[in-house]
Amino acid sequence: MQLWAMIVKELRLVGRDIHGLALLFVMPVVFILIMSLAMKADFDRRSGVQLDVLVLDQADSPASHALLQSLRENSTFRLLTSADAAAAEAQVATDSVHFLLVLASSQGDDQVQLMARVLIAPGNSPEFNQLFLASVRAAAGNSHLQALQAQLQTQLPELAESDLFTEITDADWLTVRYAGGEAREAEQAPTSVQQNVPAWLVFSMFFVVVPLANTLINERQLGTLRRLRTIAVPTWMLVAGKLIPYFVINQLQVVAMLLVGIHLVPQLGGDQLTLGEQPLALIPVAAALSIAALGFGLLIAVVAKTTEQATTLGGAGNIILAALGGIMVPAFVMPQFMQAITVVSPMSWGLQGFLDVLLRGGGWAEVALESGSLLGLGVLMIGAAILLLYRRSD
Amino acid sequence: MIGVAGLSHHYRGAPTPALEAINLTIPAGSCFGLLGPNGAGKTTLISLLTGVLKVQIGQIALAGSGQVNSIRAIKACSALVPQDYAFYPSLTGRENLNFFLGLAKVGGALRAQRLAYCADICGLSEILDKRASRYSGGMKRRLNIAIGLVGDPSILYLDEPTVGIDAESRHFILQGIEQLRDAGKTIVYTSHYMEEVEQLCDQVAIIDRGRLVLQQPMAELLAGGRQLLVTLQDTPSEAQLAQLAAQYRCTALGPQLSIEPGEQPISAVIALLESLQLAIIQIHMGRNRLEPIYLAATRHGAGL
Repeated sequence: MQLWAMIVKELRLVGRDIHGLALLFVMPVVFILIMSLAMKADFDRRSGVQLDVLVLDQADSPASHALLQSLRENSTFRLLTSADAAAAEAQVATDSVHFLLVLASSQGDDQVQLMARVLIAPGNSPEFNQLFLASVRAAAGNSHLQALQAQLQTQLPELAESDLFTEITDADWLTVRYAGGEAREAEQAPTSVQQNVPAWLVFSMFFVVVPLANTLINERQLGTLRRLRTIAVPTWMLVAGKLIPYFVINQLQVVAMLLVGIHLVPQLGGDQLTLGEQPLALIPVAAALSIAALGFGLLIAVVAKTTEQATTLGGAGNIILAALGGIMVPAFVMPQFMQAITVVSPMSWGLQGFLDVLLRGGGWAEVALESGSLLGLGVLMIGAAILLLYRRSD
Repeated sequence: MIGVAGLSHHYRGAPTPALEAINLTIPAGSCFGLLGPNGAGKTTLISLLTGVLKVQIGQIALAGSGQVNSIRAIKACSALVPQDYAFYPSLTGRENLNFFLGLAKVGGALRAQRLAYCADICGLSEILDKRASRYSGGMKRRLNIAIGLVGDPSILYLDEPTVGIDAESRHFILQGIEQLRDAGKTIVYTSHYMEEVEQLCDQVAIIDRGRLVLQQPMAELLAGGRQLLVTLQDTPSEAQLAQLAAQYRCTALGPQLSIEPGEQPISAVIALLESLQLAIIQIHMGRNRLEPIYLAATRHGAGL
């Protein structure tokens, strides 16, 4: 009954703290929406997302077929056929697709020539445009070469037996190595929504420090804590009565931000967040991350003497942890030595735990290290805070 | 009854002890005035008596419990009403009371009864559903007391419950405390308003600089017959006071003198003052009052 009374009281206090609620729920939504949409093109480029190309093949010739086949072999592009030029141009103009490729035939002096026209969507990054144009040129060159080979084979059949027409694969002549090691090759870069939803979720979960510390310091300053100590309520229950409601709030944040990634971001033109192959593995990450955030909050609440101190310490601490942990600037754009530093921030452990599930298709085993580390750190900080609380009461 | 024996407390890092060898007896069902200047050690003593602080040296015994220094026994029968508004301003009065009723493990039908009783005795029934932050100072004081009553404690510690409120609220609170005293609760009352302590308390203890300097029943303390309260034009010199003290027991605070004439006629006192060339502005005759006794005991006046 005592614990329940404390939980209900704490939830009521948080429920009436409009600024605290905005900090916990509105701030991350705003960050997720702005960052997911603003950084979409850049993340798409890094994550190797497919570029949609509408194709209007008016030529319908062996040359155009060869060119399109060559483009199809490049997994960066997804070719979509279109029959209506006006509709296709409208789709490009509204950024629904990245490019429109119109192939037509032109009668030259002695032969039919393939003509190509490319329409580029206004929202494309310059890198996408250069990549596509280079690919079209390469495909055109390739198809031209194939036509030349076919002609040569017809006119000079003795050459058919020679090495001249043996197909050369990459393995025959090309070697690629990653200076950062083989792991870098296998590393998957997240899309904008895959990075920003868990990143700002982790950030906002740590912001429970502000309302948690403020209520505890207010209780201390108003004398309520002294009054609670005169009632036969054990200290562990005082702490649990404070932590359990904020744990629940943290879990509500997780659900809310995932829903924003799944439903709201795509409505506004971003990608849709997918939950990976084993979404239940998000549970241990979210729970352990919450315990670490609560430990941090409780420690700040006990150490700080005023609510102003707690807000400054907690807020600045969160921003530093976020900057270090790859929340504000994604780790994969950092130089190697900075990437190594990200591991000092528990926010990075939480983010990697979420990415294990959302991006890499990981399950319980894959998130065990991050979850265990967060849980251990959280328990350590809660223990330290309780010790300090006991010392202060003497 | 609460018995305190040899109670001392030293805060970590403090140069002197906050309390030193306090011996006290608080009779059951009494209203016990605990007085002392700021920093005298009252709050430390109350914190020890209510189990907020652990006893370092000495003993606190509760009659009937058979236990000494048992924080559990102390907490089970006592409640503290601190000087601060120790509740949650963003909750309503009802929500605050319900929270503390929950902590006191009062549930079911008894909870509703107890809530109604606490609200009624403190005059809060009409405003229970307003947020406490919107209460007036007097209402906040009443809510503070009402919360202290939720566990139906047999000992209630009231730490300056009337500070900073209007006369009407003060009167209401004092009436409520009298009701509680008449209902048999033991009340430990601290205040800087001496007339309140005179009105309510039947026992008084004065603490100064961590030591108990006086404990006496109020009736005995205020007995002792006539007393002259004299207001002079100027503050008397030490020599004048010494001559006065040679004949009468007296206390001085600036130009105000409290003189006990004993069996001597009043005219003799006036004659002596005039012979000492002390110009009298006003003379008031009455019985002993607590304030000069308190001032003398705490050395804030020139005790002679």
